[in-house]
Amino acid sequence: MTAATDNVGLFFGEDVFVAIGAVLLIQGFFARNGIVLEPLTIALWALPTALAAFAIHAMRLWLFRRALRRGRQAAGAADAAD
Amino acid sequence: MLRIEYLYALIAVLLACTAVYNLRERRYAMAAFWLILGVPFAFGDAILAAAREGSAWPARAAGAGLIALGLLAAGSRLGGEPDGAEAAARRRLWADRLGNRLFWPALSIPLLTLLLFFGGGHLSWNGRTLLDPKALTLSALAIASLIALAGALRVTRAAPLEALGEGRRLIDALGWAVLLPMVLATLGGVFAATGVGGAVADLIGRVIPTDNRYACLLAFALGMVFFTVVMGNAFAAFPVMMAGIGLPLLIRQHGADPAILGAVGMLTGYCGTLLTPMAANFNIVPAVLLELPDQHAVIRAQAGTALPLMVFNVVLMAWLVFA
Repeated sequence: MTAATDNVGLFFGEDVFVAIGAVLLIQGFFARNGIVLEPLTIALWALPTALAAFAIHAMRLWLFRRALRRGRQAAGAADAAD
Repeated sequence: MLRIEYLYALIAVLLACTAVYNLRERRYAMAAFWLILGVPFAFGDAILAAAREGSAWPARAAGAGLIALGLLAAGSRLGGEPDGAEAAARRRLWADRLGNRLFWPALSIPLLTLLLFFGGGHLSWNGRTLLDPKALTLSALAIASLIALAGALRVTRAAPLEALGEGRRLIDALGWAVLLPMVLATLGGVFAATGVGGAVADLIGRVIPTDNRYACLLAFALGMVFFTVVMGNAFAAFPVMMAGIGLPLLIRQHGADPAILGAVGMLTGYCGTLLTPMAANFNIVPAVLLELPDQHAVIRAQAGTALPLMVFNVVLMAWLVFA
């Protein structure tokens, strides 16, 4: 599970970083429908979502780590009781 | 002036070299694929000029080429050769020797692109602007990449020919996926020309109150997620939803900002990518590689991020696009 969550973080960084391909697809689509946009303005509007993704995922990782630590402490206490 | 067409020609040269590499290794389908793709990059201007002057055959030939690309991609196994153990060991050695210095050239690309974008409009030589003002972002990106390439060659002391060989390896590994953004953007043009957007908008109008801009927005966002989940790719969902709801209803009827709607709408589709087993290379392959007992474990772990993020995106769009 740790590996999976780690994997999510990795994948998310890749996914939310607006690769130039996505921006060009959006720009190209609009250009063919008569709306001219500079690609950078599209990329800039991806920033709020990127930040939110980072915030949400960082918070989940933090909670996950806390849960792991609690679990380990509980296990340690159980060992000590034995 | 450095016209964007010169940079396209540079791409054509890279594609032609990739084709030659493949030809020498008798990978004929790959070679043909890159060669055909290179032609519009090299002669795009001439094709458009010919179409304006009334001779349609070059544009039709380009269309036939595109169909050929599709057939080649569907009919043969395109893809790069995996690294041999020797190449991997060599790369490991170099990575250890160079350490974090390796990252500087790559990191300089976005930084230089931004600098050139904001400063490049003012650069001029003998009263002529240096960068193409019609394609400032792309010109800036291309020049930043070239500078980064020079930097990378300096840091690694590799031969320039090695850059060509590695570029070829990367292009081969990406395969037909490099076509996706271009072809799907063109699909937007095809939808516009054939009136698909209007037809879908009519259908949508029977289901949701199109006078209500928030209902339209919600339909657009959920549609992006739904189509992405079904098709496994937000790129493919984008032209469909944009032509059906985004363009006719949100932008034309309700005056939504196209830049924000496009960017956040695409990212809303990405939330769908996090949730779908159709995006196998992201969501299933890692679970299998990690030998997790449940092959949907990665998706389950991602859902907790994807769903709040989707809500955030919808609220963000509702707040910003109609301003």
